[in-house]
Amino acid sequence: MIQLPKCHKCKTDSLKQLNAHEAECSNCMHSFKLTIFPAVFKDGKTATVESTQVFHEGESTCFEHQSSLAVATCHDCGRFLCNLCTVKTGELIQCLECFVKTKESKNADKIVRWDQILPALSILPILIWPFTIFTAPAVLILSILKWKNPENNPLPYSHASIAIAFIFALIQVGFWGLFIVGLASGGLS
Amino acid sequence: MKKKYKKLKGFSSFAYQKLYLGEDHLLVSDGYMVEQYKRLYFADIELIALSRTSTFALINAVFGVGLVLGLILVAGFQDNPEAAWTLGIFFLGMPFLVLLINLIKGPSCMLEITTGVQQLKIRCVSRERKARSILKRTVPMISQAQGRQAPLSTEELQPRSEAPEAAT
Repeated sequence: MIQLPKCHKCKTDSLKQLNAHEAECSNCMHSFKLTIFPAVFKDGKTATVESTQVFHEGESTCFEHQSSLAVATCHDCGRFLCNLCTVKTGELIQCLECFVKTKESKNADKIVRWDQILPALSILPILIWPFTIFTAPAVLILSILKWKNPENNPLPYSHASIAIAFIFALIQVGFWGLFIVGLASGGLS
Repeated sequence: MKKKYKKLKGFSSFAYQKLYLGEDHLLVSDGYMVEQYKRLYFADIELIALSRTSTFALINAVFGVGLVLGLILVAGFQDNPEAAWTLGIFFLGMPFLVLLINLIKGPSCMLEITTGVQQLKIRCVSRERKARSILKRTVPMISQAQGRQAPLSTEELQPRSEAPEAAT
């Protein structure tokens, strides 16, 4: 049975498949165009993986499934894993338990984009310009500290944005410098 | 460094979401400044559903009415052409521009991708024309990753989906 999405118009599970390319909501009659791929029958494949038997003595079995042949070991805990228990994250192979632990501890797929934050931090405070006395030096320091692309960032990291933010912050610091020097010299005279 | 991803769609008006095409998967990035990534591997994609939404009609209706009201307002200032021009630029120009952009972009839509474990709404793809161009590009890649030339046809789907029912 193909699991169709909810109808976003009436928010019900009333989608009825008409053929391989069309579905219709039986509640609000809203029509959907479908593209169905062979992966919908994948459940059958995993069932065969689970029932893989160990035929030869000396072969390793999965830690969780004693009847399944081990095909890999967990990168973190070293447990033997069958196809079903293997979680591939990039080139790393982990068991489900370690995968969840890694995700929770590292917040693996959440990335702070300094190449987006720094330009905003260097430009937006100009609207309330006195704040730039704090933000401009902060941008200068952060531009240097966060220049390197985070290791787990899959997307291109814009060094150009950081460089522009740095130059912009440098100009602001320059203005503040001139302002302070002017104020000091004016005050002295 | 070799570029791993090609951007398919950037931010849309109401969604901080971007869609990228990788070698063997689609990457959905959610958020601005702090991004979260979801990978949809071609081999795992079961279904892509595309349906029209009412946003296109709604924008047309709201700004169409705005345009008419603007016309009535500007017509009331016939004696004062200067004021009519100033009002006209704002009350006619803005709705006209929004209407024009909306008409050029075409009908709005919702694109949903289903894998074995999740159903993901691709909110950044909000126009049908863009969705179709993305599908035109990705469907052959998904089919190829699943060992085929094209997605499933009705004939291929029928006997398999009906088999368990017939058995019971």
